[in-house]
Amino acid sequence: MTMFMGTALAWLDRALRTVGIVCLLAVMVIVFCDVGARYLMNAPFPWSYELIGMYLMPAIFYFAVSDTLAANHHIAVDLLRSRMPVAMIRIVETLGSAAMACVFMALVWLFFGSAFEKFRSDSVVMGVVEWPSWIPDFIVGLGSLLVGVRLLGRAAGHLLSLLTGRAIVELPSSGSR
Amino acid sequence: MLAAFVVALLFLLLAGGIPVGFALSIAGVVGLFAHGGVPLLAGILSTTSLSTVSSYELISIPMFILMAEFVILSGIADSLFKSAAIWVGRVPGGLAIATALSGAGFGAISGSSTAAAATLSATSIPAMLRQGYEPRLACGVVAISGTLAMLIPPSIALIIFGIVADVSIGKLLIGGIVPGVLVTFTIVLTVLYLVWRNPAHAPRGPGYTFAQKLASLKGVWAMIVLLGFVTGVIYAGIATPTEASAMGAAGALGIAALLGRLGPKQLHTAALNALRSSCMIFMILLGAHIFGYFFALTGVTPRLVAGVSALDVPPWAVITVIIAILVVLGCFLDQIAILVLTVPVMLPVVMALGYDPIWFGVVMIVAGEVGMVTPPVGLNAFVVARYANRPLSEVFIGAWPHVLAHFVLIAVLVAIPQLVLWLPSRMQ
Repeated sequence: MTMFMGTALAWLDRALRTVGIVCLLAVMVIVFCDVGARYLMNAPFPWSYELIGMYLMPAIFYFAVSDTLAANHHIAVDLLRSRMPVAMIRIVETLGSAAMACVFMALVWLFFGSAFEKFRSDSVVMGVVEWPSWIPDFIVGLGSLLVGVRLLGRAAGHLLSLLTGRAIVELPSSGSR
Repeated sequence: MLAAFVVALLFLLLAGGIPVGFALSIAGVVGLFAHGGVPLLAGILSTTSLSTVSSYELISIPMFILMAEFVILSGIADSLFKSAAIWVGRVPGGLAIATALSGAGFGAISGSSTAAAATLSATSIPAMLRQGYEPRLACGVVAISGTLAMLIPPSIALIIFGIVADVSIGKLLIGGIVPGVLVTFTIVLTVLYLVWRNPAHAPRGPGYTFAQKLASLKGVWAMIVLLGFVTGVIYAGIATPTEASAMGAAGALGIAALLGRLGPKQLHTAALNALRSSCMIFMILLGAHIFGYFFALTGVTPRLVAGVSALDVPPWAVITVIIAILVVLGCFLDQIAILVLTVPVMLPVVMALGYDPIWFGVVMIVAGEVGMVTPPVGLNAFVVARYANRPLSEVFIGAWPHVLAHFVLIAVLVAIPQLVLWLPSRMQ
């Protein structure tokens, strides 16, 4: 069951981060072409500002946050950690992961709820085009759900490791991450 | 009382090794819940979580990181040190000076001081040691040269300062140019002084003809053109920093492709690295915003500003204390964490004293540079020790003369703010 969950999370991470990479490269291409079109043809893309701000930037962050956590890429200060006993590190990881999971799960509840309401009412943001307003909320909810589940798994893993004395999940690598 | 408890919780989480962005979020959420209950917390989470990352101006962070990844991919970074060594290798301490110059060049590419220190460690320390340089001198100059990336545009630290402080990012980036050059000269002068005191610590290298020197530029000209273009369009007002960052990334992608270094795998790796680094920074900004709301609601900042303004001390004394705090924090915390934690509190105090926010942003970064090479956890010193496989104490001792020289430079920047503000004031 644990292995299945781990595999499923890794697969979802890969899928979402691929979307994040596409969004990142799309921002580069759109802004580059926008500036070029403005100076060469006096015809900038009027939709680029809204598309990037509303959809692409949230996707770049929320679709990568779980993968970044899995890759230990979130920066942390480990001055004291290297001197802590393993049991203490497990306790800190359990509490920290559980607390952060609560924060992300609160976002899931808030944003999936609001995305559903906006989708049902066909809510749009008026701009150059009518932008469906449920999409950004859905992006936040989906990314938060994935990282929330990952954090809950981490919290449970560290707690079980602490209670059983077996390393069910590895400790985060030392060094600034 | 609540504010003190939440700040203590934040430092406890940071000390426990919880990622900076997560620690800020948890402490902020606890504080908001204690202050206003679920309705207040839900209201702030539902606005901040999306508004923090949906800002158009924020795209300069992932774009400049992407530009750095593409430039590194093109192999130009490796050519920098070789070229600088050919140009100045013959002068006393030439390889150490070349390290400072390539540190400035790499800083212009990457904006990340640890990445700069790691790259310089791999190339310049073995070259210096082979030539008989004293290891402490070699390690010290690499550690301090890596910090130039935080100052020379495009600096991610300055962009984050601009976002947190709501100050013109373009002016900040241009404001970093003169101090960046001054820091480079400070490192060079410190090296020359150390070599003058003990010439045996840095034997001279071989000489090269002018034709060989010119030929060495072949590997770096594309980068010089790209960086000149990016900085030039910001200075001339042709493009915003946001637009310039995307054009820089596209230009670096084109250079990597022209040099035949870009395949699908390399493109994926570069983009993934940029995505993760951007996400890490965005997480810190999100946490800082949540925490910032709590701080604003408790009214700590206005009380602090009023308290400092009422003190019967000259403004320079307050600035000196602030810089001392920044240097001490730099010994323990990452530069981005320092910025998001301290700017919302310190900037109103500094502005109430009559100082310019652009000037403060640049001085803050220079002070942060010192912390990066100071014990106990100067991050760059750790990176150099790890990558060059040298004792950590050797790096810290070697960086010490540079730390002293930096203090002198900070004093000059405090005494003459125009050194920072002149170039931004000339912008279109």
